[in-house]
Amino acid sequence: MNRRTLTILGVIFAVSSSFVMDGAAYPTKPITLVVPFPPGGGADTVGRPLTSVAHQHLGQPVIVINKGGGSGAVGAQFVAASRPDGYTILHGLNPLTELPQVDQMLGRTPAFKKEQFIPLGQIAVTPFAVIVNAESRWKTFQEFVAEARQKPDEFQYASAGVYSTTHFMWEMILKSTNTKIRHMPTTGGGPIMMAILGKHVDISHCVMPAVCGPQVEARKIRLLAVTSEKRLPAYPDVPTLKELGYDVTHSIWHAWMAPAGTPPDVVAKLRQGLKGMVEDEAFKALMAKLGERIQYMSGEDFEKWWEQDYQKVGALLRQLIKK
Amino acid sequence: MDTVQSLLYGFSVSLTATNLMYCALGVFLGTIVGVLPGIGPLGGITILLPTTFGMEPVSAIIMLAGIYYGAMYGGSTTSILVNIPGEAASVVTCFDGYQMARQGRAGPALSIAAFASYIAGTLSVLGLMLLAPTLARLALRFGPPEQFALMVLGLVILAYMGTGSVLKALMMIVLGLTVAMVGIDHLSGFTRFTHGRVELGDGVSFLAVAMGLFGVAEILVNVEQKVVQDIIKPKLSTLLPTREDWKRSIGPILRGSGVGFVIGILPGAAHIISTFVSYAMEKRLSRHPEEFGTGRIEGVAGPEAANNAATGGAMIPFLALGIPSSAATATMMVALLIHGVKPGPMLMEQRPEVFWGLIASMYIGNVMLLILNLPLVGLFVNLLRVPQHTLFPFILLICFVGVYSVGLSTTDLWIMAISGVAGYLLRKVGFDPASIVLAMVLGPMMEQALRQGLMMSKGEFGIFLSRPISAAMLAVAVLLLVAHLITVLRRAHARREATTQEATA
Repeated sequence: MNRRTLTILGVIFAVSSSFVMDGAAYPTKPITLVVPFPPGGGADTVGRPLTSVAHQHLGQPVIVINKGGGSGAVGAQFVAASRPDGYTILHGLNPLTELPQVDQMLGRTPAFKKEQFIPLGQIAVTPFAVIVNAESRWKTFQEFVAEARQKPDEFQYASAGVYSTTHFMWEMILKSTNTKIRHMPTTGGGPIMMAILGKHVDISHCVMPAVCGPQVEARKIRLLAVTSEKRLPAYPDVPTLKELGYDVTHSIWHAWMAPAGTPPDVVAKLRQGLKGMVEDEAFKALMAKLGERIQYMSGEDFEKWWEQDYQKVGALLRQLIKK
Repeated sequence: MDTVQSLLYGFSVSLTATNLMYCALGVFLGTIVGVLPGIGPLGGITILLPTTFGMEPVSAIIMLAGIYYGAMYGGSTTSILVNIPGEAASVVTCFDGYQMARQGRAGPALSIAAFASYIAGTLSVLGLMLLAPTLARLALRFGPPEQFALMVLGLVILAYMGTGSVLKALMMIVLGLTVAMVGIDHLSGFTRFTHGRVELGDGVSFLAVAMGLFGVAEILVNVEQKVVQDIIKPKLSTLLPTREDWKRSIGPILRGSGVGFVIGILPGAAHIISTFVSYAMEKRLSRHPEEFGTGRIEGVAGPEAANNAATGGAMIPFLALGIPSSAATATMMVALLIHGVKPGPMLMEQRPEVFWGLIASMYIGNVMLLILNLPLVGLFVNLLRVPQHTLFPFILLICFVGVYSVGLSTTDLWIMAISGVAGYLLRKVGFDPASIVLAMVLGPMMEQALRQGLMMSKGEFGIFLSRPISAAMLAVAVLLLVAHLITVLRRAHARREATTQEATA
């Protein structure tokens, strides 16, 4: 290695270590929204349409960056550690509740903590449907439960990954139905649908209605139940798990978060702006086309709800991990 | 007849002024993101997604798809000119493309890449049009056991590919598999070899490693040598492939199209894998396998055809099943869903204008890309005239911006820098870094498929043999190995006999 090689190396390493962020008075420049999943995921489906109406309500555009990895941990940690000036916010989802607690229970150092975020408001919730292949012999969820009770460990369900929010949902379902079904982790909604359509697993779930919808219409899958509190208007015939006597409700929530330490006036402005965006007619129209359900909750209300949910989920996770 | 009518209808949709414009815009942007190292089709599609909210759904999908397949055209440019893959799928194009450029044949390399892309792109649209529903059903039969068998077959083919020492190639494969193990294991939830760093949770970025091993290492090697820049004096005639070039390339292009299309249908890193398979196949079929890696035009034509054909294949699960197999197709799906158009089995019936308009636009877009890319060849070749002391820093800058723009992570920059040094050292001691890259792609998929397959069977290995598709592929893999072993043994035997004869004589 001669001197020229070394000089170039020096330049390479100098560039690698010289990234610095800039800050100024609020809102004078575009705001960055970190979506903690790779492009094309469910978070994008809500986050990107929402930012299309941001300028009118915040006075500045919101730019989406995808920072995927670690089931959402990488993006969340990035925002938690970023400068609390209101220019970097997070599109938060259920893993904010689950990941730090799972890490703690497994004796790992959590990548971030709940206390590192200030909720700005909830935007939407996305329930799941329990699905089987349309050619499956189970016409109702009870039929499946009855057979699964007789044959423990015979059937297999697919989740979006170990300790993902859907793994956790399935463990709740198994517990409340008193069944034993084997787990097959995959890497997301696409592979799950492949596994159901290709009959590689017996039962699974899909996001309502974006992923399920086209398959239901084409009669490729059958919906056995939904995981929402109430039946979905678009699918009035599909019962909720609760109606069937199983106390499981589970949905993906979408809520924007600012890093802790953000000045109160900035938080207030963001909360006000987010409310305006969610209630914007243009945004509502986009969500209606996607079939996503807007469910606004103010930052203050979400903070209270989140605290309760965090404890509830924590208790369930503890049982799951002890097992 | 029905297909012809539908296709004509599709052309009537896509030939409107508006849609032609969006198609042109899409393929143009695709070429740009393809040429720029790092920034791939996914980045381009995601950035433009919000602009599609106000468009007609057909226009939206025509433009986004244009970026997607357009990027495969541009990807070869930097591979050939400066040995830096513009796209992950253009790593293989570096092997022979760059050597051709060094021999003053950058023009033919670039233009055969464009022609190969055009032919393969068009053939794969044809395949998509005629075979989509049938192939979609076949793709569904590829469960974890079948995927595992396919990966085994892929690795066996890879072993055929290495030039020189098999032992060195194996060492590189093991290194690649080890690097690929870093990150969260999706099947158990445990993190492996991350040393507590969250940034490594999703593993070591494949793109950063590839750009470091090829691009940065190339620059490091080059600054040591005093290269006399007499590489090219391009005249128009030398920019196009000769008749001999065509004769050598047409087979690889057709085979590459077939391979790319079929592999594209399957989930996973189809574009990348298809190029490796095509390269290995051409090398195997060639009468001069030892010349691969020294600037054989077949080594450019085959893989470049394969990665373009793979885009057509990848559209099948997305359009026919409603299941996007990659983030890029997933983002296109969002663009359609936002307009209430649902990709999937019902798309052709419910929204024929979207399906057939898209198909027709892909025929048109491929023609546009050819017209767009051929004149660029002359322009790009001139890039090589830029003195190295100006060109190299600029290339490095583009590498850094490119890698950073994908993951927005400074960790990736470090990975690229370190891979660059590693690649430099490996080159110095005669190791071929290509196997690292493919092992990094195949390793995690293979591990996951194996474990999922065993989960399906409660731990019985029999599942890989009891399912016909997987059994057939494993059988082919074994046959290849046995055939190879027999040739090796025969050769050894012949050599031994020759020596004993000499001894007795």
